[in-house]
Amino acid sequence: MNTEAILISAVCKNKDISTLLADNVDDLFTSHRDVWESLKTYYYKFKAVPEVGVIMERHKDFQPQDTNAETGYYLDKLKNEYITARIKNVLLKAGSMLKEDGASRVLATMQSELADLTRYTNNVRDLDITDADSAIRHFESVKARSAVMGGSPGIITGFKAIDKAYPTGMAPGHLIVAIGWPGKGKTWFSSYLACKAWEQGFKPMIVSLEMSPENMRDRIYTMLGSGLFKASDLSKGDISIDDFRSWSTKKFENKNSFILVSNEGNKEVTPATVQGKIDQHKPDLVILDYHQLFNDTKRSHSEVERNRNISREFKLLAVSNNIPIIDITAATADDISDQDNPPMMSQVAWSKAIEYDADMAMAIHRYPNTNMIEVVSRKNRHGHDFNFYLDWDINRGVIKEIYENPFQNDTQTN
Amino acid sequence: MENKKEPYVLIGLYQALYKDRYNKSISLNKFREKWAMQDVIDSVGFERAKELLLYYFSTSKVGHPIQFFYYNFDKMDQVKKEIARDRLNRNTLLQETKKMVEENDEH
Repeated sequence: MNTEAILISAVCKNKDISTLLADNVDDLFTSHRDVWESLKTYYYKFKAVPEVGVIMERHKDFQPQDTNAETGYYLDKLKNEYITARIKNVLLKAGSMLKEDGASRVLATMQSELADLTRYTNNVRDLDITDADSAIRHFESVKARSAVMGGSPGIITGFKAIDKAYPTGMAPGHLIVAIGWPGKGKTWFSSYLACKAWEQGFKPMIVSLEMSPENMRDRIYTMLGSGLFKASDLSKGDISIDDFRSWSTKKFENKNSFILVSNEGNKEVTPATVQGKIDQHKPDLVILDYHQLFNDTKRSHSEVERNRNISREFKLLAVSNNIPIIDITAATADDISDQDNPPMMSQVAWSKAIEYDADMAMAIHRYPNTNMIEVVSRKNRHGHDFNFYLDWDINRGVIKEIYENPFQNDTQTN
Repeated sequence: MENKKEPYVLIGLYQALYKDRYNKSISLNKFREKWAMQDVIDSVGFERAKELLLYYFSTSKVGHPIQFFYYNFDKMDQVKKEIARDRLNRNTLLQETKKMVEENDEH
């Protein structure tokens, strides 16, 4: 039986292509390279792993195989076969070289070729920058992905400033951190990004350990309604059911689902729990609200260690599942900091972990008794820093971007 | 030259801020506190010490004890300077972002 065909069948059955995308697998496919490329293209375009029948339609000679184990098991098997074949090849080549070349040169060649194989045996991914063909394949893949995603390889936010300064968009594998003082609009802002992603046809998933799913749903409806509903009315159930039904029928028709997950404050949630929900719902974007309420997998007792581990584990979730993750983080005020401005990294505990793990960090700050929310980048690994304001009628869900300082003449605030 | 009234002015300001915040008066031994407050003034100047006292009451320190202010006014001074620098940076960034977005709109 062909192990490549088995592995592809397992991916189609288990729907966990991320196991392969997070690893060095392209070279492992030789006889079924074209099938693997088709599978990836389909996934990038439709954000779903196709049924095996779809693959068979495109590749008439592809013969699916029965699988009963995890995809990772077949991947290990394929790696083992590939490495065994390569080692045999290296040894045969070395034997023949020894007839004509010096032993030291043969040894050097063997060492180089064997060292190359180690990239299939460990869990880190590497590439050789002098391998232009590999780079071209990557560029073509990114270009194809950008073409189907509306111009950027990731999910665009809908905010001009962010989309311009963060040209990759919220791309697979990215960890985006939204920092803010408690109650200053970071959950609203992140939920809005989820709404924008959903409106573009993606499937967001918000894991909220702070709010009930019903409360979060009210917020989402307010934003999706863009002025149609008031958050205050939704929270009281004070709406016309007929209007709501008619709006929701039109709004949700032929759209992806939008998943809200909550523990209702009852049970501890770790990155492993989140992985389970990712496996269940297969989202395109995950929002974790909020960092301090999660436990790390090791259940560390030290707060610093716990938060550092969570940051690292969230980054790994993003990379291994090949999706962007937004980590909402509450800045913890010490005794010498006020909360009148967007938090700086130096005011955030475990900011070092955020600096290491985040692809982008934004501070979100709502000014008291106003509709003004300031959004300022604190780290952007993929472009320029940015700063802008939002005039946000939170109750009605109406938002306007502003590129002037609304507090220009206010000496107290600025 | 040292102004002997300045420490008392700041102690009075502290008491007023305390009353505003907690809705109750605090009694202090002004003759003892003036030496510590004079040290603050000697370090950062009267006007800055006044700003730092106002800033202190915008922090979330529970009870806002005056002793905490004496021990931490220099750290608050640093944080305040950092916030001021960040505010300038944010304003510059805002202008740059505006330009970036406008350029993008033109294309």
